[in-house]
Amino acid sequence: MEHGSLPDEELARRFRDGDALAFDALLNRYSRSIYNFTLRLLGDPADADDATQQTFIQAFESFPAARPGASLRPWLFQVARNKCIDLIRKRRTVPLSTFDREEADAPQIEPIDPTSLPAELYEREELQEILRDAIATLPQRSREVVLMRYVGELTFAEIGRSLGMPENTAKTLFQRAKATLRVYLRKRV
Amino acid sequence: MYPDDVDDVDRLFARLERVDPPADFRAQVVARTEHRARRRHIVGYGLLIASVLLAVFASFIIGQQLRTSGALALLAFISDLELLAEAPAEVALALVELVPWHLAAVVGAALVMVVVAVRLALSPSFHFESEAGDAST
Repeated sequence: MEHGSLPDEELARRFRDGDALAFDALLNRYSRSIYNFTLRLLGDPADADDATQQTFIQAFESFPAARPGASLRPWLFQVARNKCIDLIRKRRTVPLSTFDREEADAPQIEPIDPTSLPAELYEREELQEILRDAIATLPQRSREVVLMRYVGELTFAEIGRSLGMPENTAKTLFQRAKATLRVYLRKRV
Repeated sequence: MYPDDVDDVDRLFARLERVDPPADFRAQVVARTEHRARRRHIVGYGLLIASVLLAVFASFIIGQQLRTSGALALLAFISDLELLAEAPAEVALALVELVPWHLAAVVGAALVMVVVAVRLALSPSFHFESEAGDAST
């Protein structure tokens, strides 16, 4: 059986048993999503590259010692997030206070707007820029939740495990973040 | 992707551009991983040799001290089980006085270092197949 088609748990088991190809398969499977996650958090491709490399180096060195039942995907995102924080602390490219800002500091969101976003938004040439800017307006914790959901495609349970919060808290943060995003997107039309 | 409650914001962000990592990403990770593993192994084996030598040297000095002071004979005498049962406090006191504890502590520390060194020296180090696919692909 090809390594690429094996589930995470099996790859992790083989990796613990010393199979380098299993690590390669994990690298192939998650490097893109982790890179995009760090890129959106850090905003700089070189920093994102460094943080993603460090994430996989730590995975290589630490995962064999981790609990056999530990779920790989949320663990990887948790490591990636920590690497981003380390990089920001080291380089001070973003004020740390921004990173540490709690959800309580976020502006209060109006009740969820039920009307759809204008269809023209989907066709805008600068859609990517708008989406990037929209994510950047979010408080740090919400940004992490949104990126884990949209970029990493993690479940809320996995997001909760990555960020050390209950699944319902992750869901609530995500819903509040979506309301903020909707307000911002409507303004950009 | 999101079976429940997919709305227009979800659909919009599904279009968020996914960027590939740099072309040499996998090579960089492998190179850095192997470099760190090599460094750990060098440190591990160096520490192992140093700690074993230290443990042997400190044990030798302890033996010498016990022998030249005549404590070795005394130790053999007080380690008699009957004496130990009859006067445990005296035996313990004699032991405290006879054993060079500072050297015994050095031996203990050296043995702890041996354990740490073995863990470092045996930490994972795989040979990555050069033909394995690049992470960015």
